[in-house]
Amino acid sequence: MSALSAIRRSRNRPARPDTDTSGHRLLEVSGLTTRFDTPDGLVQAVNGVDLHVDRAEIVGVVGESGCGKSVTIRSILGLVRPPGRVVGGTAHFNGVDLLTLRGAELRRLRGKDIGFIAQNPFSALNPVMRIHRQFRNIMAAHDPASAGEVRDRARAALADVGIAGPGRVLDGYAHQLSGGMAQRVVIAMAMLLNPAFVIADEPTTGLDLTVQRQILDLIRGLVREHGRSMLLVTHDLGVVAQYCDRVVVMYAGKVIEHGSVRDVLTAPRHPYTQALIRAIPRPGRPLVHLTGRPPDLVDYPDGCPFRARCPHAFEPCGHTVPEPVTVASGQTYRCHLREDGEVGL
Amino acid sequence: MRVFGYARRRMFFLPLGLLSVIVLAFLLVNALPGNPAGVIAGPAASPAELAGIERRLGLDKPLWERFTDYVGALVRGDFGSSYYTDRPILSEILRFAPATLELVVLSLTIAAVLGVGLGVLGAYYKGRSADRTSRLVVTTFQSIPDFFLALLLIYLCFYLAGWAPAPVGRLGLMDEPPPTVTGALLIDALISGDMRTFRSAVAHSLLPVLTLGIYYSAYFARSTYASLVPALESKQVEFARACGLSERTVLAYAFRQARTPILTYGGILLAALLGGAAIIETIFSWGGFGEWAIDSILQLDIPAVQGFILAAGVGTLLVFTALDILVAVLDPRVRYD
Repeated sequence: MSALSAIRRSRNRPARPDTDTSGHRLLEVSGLTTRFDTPDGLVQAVNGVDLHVDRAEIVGVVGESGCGKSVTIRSILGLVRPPGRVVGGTAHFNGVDLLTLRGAELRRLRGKDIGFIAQNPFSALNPVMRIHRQFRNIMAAHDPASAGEVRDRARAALADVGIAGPGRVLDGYAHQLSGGMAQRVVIAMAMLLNPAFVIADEPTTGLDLTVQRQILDLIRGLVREHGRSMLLVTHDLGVVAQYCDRVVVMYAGKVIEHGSVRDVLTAPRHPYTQALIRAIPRPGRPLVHLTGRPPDLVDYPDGCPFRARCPHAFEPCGHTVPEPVTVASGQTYRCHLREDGEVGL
Repeated sequence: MRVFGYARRRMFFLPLGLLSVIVLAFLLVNALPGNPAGVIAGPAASPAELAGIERRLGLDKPLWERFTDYVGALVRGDFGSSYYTDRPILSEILRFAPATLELVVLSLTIAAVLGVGLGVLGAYYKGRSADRTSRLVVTTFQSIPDFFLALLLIYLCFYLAGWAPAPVGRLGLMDEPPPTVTGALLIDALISGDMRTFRSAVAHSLLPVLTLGIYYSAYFARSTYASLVPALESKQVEFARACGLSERTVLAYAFRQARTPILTYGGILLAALLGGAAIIETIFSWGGFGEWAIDSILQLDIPAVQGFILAAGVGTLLVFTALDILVAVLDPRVRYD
């Protein structure tokens, strides 16, 4: 899809007021900090992430590989395994702090109140178990009494994701499906118990370009139709422009900018966001690559983590971590630069 | 349907494998250094006596003629007779093999239960104290040689504590063996309804089964650990957790992924132990297959050694064929077209 045209379209969409009315708020993460104690040292994967998702809102999380996107959502879902550990912060979902829940309590929320759409369906689905049985296990985990209606519910869920012959799919194995079909099965599993909130982890990364769009349209449809909310992790700003209401930009385990998609994509304030937007291929303009690599998360730099790659770095960046600055529309960024960083789309 | 087709194709190769085993059995034994006639006749025998023995055993004939004689006899069900006891080899095999089979199957069952348990414990609690404990136990089990473990157990459980009977074989010296039906004492005793003999057989198999069970549990533990750790770290298990499945179901998902390598390992051990438990059999006077094979090799009893190689080879062939079919049943992704 053309990222630029998507961004242009998003300009015409009315901006969502980014005001804190806690009645709308479904998920509120603050100060989330996750570490991995590896033989090479302590990896500071997520460093005080704040983000929120309102009801009926789709929030995109973007950043390069290794910026902490996946660890953030896994921390929220309680899926970080040793040697990883969530060491700080809160993640209030419907008023309950997910990070304080015990294993079984959190398990009951997963799959039922929070659906998860995995990145690669072929590694997510059980390869040696019939699809039908995987649906049955999900239903049995949340409602043991539902055994009799598994097949009907699973068929309905598969029909909802546009699978024409649900019976045949249910009786088969994952490896018999195409990539797009398998991802539809994963989506059907995520939506099976009608969750209010969906977390999608780069749901189209392994798919053909033509299928990617169908899958994203499908996910958006299922989310919007039922008034659900979604956290959509992606590294594709075009996807953000087209499918999200708000966007959170992450770098080195920190949120460096967030705001409405319209604001952030048309008037990015942080040099990293600006660089990401410049790196989108578009006709008539040279592709500007962001050179350098993200900082070492074991030997985490002082000051601004983006300093080493930043064209505008100046004196305070080396020793002072920039505080978040919020502009009128609710767009927030962490940078010492105060001038408008318009890249002029 | 897919599995039946595969099983048929796989069975199709059995005769070919069998032929290779026969050729191998013949060539290996006839290529062994040493003259059996010399061993039989003793150091003081005259050349004429030696030649007489060689003629009687057919050793004076050329190799190819001996081979055709051998194969021809095999086809008639004649595996030859022992140079020493003159007993037909086939009946010797049928006498010794069930004892070993009984020992090996029981031992591997213990080894699998114990080893898979240890491996699962270690893999699930990777990096925590349960993992370290499991690894310590496994390393200990593996580092004690099986013959030493056997002697240790005999010393502790028979000599000191008196829990186990003396290592005099499959039954006590005064026990009446049950009429032979299957050759496996435990089963025969049950069939005859002789509970006293059955209890004695169980008591006598305790230490050898424990020895092999403990020793080989380390192998099961290691292969379980090695295949379960990546399975537990896989995206599939993460997705199962994200769907809210219980930890027990999640572990079952991971185990389903890991079971094929564990099973393969078990099959290889089973095949290897068919002839490889000789030392333990000797220590416990088990009267088993491996023990018989060692005696035959040391006496250069060529027909017996050939019979052993043939039987062990066929056993291995059958185990591996069954294993391949089982893996195809368990893993729907396996394709063999």
